[in-house]
Amino acid sequence: MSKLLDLPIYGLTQREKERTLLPELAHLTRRHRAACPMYARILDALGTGDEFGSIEDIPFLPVSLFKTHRLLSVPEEEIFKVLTSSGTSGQAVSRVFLDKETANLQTRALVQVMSKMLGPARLPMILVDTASVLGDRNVFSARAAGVKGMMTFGRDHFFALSEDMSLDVDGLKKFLAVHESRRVLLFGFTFMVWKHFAPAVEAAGLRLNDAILIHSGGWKKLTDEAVDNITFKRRISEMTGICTIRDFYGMAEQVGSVFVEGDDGLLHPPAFADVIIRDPVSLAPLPPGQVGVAQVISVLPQSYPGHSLLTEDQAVVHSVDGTGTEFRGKAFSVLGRFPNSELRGCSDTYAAGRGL
Amino acid sequence: MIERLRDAADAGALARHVAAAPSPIPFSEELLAFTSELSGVILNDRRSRPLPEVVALGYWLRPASMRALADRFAGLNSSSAVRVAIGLALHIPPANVDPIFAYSWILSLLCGNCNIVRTPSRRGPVAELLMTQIDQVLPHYSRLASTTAFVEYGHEDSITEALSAQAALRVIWGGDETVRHIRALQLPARAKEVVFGDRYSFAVIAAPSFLALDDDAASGLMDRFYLDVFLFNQMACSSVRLLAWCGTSEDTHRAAERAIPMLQQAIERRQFSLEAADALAKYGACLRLALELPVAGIDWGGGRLAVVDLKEGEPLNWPTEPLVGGGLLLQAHVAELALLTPLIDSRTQTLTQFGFEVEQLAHFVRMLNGRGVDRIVPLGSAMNFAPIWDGYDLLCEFTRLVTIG
Repeated sequence: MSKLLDLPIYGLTQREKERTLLPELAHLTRRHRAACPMYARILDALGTGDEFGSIEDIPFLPVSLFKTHRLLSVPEEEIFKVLTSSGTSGQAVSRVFLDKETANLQTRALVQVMSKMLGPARLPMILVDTASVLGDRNVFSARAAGVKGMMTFGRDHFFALSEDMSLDVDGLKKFLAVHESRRVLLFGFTFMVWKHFAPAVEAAGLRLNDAILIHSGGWKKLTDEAVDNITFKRRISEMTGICTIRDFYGMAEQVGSVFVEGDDGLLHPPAFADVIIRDPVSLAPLPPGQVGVAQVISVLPQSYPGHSLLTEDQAVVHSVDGTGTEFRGKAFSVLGRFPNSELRGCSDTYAAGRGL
Repeated sequence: MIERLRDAADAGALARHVAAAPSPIPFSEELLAFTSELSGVILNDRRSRPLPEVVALGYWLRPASMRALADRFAGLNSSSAVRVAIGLALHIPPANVDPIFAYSWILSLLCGNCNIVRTPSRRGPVAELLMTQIDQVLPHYSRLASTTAFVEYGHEDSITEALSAQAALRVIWGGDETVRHIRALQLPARAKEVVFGDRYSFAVIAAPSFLALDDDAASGLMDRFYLDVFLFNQMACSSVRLLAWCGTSEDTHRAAERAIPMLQQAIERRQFSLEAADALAKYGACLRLALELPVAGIDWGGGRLAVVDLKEGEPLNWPTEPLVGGGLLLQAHVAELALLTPLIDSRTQTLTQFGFEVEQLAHFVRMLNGRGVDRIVPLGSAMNFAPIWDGYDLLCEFTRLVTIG
């Protein structure tokens, strides 16, 4: 398994990649089936066999299943940490169980992806968040886990937001003065960068010229405001001066799906992960160019059956093994959630607040 | 045609105005002329044709059917007890079953009441079409028109309260949540309330009877069964959620293998479409069912119909999680009707059946002894509205008795 982490991270053609991933995925499917009774029960119901002709034949669990069920393939005492997804208040959160091995693989995978993008040196780092996000040590929320995970790729960390989400203008001025004329790394959640950081930086008249911003967390709120990736990049750049802006798509439920935006503005799966676009109704795989639901694949989840998951995100593959860039394999973009229709029962005429 | 209510004052004024209108005598000739004309407009409208729920309303309003209803109403009167209107009725129809607002309103109108009908603010094509058709006919009956107001508003309790303050009858086609919410809003002391809560329905087919059908008949039956399952996105109280095959193990499996592809063809023919988000929710629901119930297999098919086959010989149970609808059909195999008993409780509404004798069904109902089930209907007619609903005779519920003697 770990040899997959040493492969050229974006250098495999789609064919090479599928040939490499398939035996690992088949092995993981059998392993989780043997070790996780709930996973076995689902596969039995789906009539899944033990042999797979292609990566598209690997069964997939809906991401939402981790919100309702504790799925793990190792004894409880081997759980090293529990990841939870960030949910808005009142919503169920996913719980994902990592043993030491899976946690290590997660760290190594992130290092591979980030060092490819950022180079070997650690840059002075601004976290577009509050310092208190690191508060709870036992339960890792997706936000805390994201911030913690990314902090290892920078140095001289500065948390740019105060408790009330306002920009710490003085702190930022000091940070920029200390690191003047050095390249700076920023990390934050897409919506927080858009809402709390960039407008305040502009209002304070500050510029971060030589900076790279990595942001993640999804487009839902921005899509609601009709802001797409191109608009986001243009406006953030206008407001702050940041010239390199990279989206990062991933989810708490799948360790190893770290899909980062390249110069082409598209997301690229690393060697140990992939994406398959499926028709959202028939769930049959779709060819490049067609919008469907994203299935994400990663060979990293060893301690829980999360190696093949069906997301609720709309996505499209733009090219496979595209020429002219350093990226082989699939290049895709995520277009946000499917419009929520929530089939309505008799009971929701009032409760849902949108019927009558 | 639909009045948009802005605030409580608006609502109060309208309700007082409608309540003061001279109401018709129950089942008067004027009323029957109106229902007959509306029936004609609905059935002759090309736009109705692809919408079975609209056509069904048109048929229900036909003169013969209305005469029969009038006769039954006459039978509910006697020389010593006369049925009369209650007064102003406020109808709160459901958001998911469009035609209910029309049935609720027309029945109440036939009973001689004045009516305020809340219409869904996000009307589907069925409600839109029905409103257009009503609008073609009702203005010709100015006296009836003055007794009716169709209204729309957000979720302002103050408006519902202002309307309720003038009402003598409030009809809530909610589910449990809606009923709980609206019930808490004051009604005048002497006003009456008729409520419809959450219900579940399922179907049973005698496997040997189905196997005895020739291909055309079997396929026709499955085409009608499509309506029981898929109309209203399978979210109506009468929508079939589970199909039980009754017979020997061999027969039930043979029948299922024959029927499901026929049902798939009906889906194709009738072009059932499912939104992406609903399909994804359904996929998750199928997998969770496999974790909760004894599931023998999940057949995702093309995604529009997902059949979750339950293991034979295991006791039947509903899942704890509410069923999502959108074409998720649980399938069971039982040796006899009595084995369906665990599925039946006070929330069971419709049992849709094919292939059983009346005596067998009556025996089953007697054995259930009130445990549940309000109506047993032939396959294909689960969605047909009837004036006796959820065990209430609406002709009685929408009127009161004056005794003489």
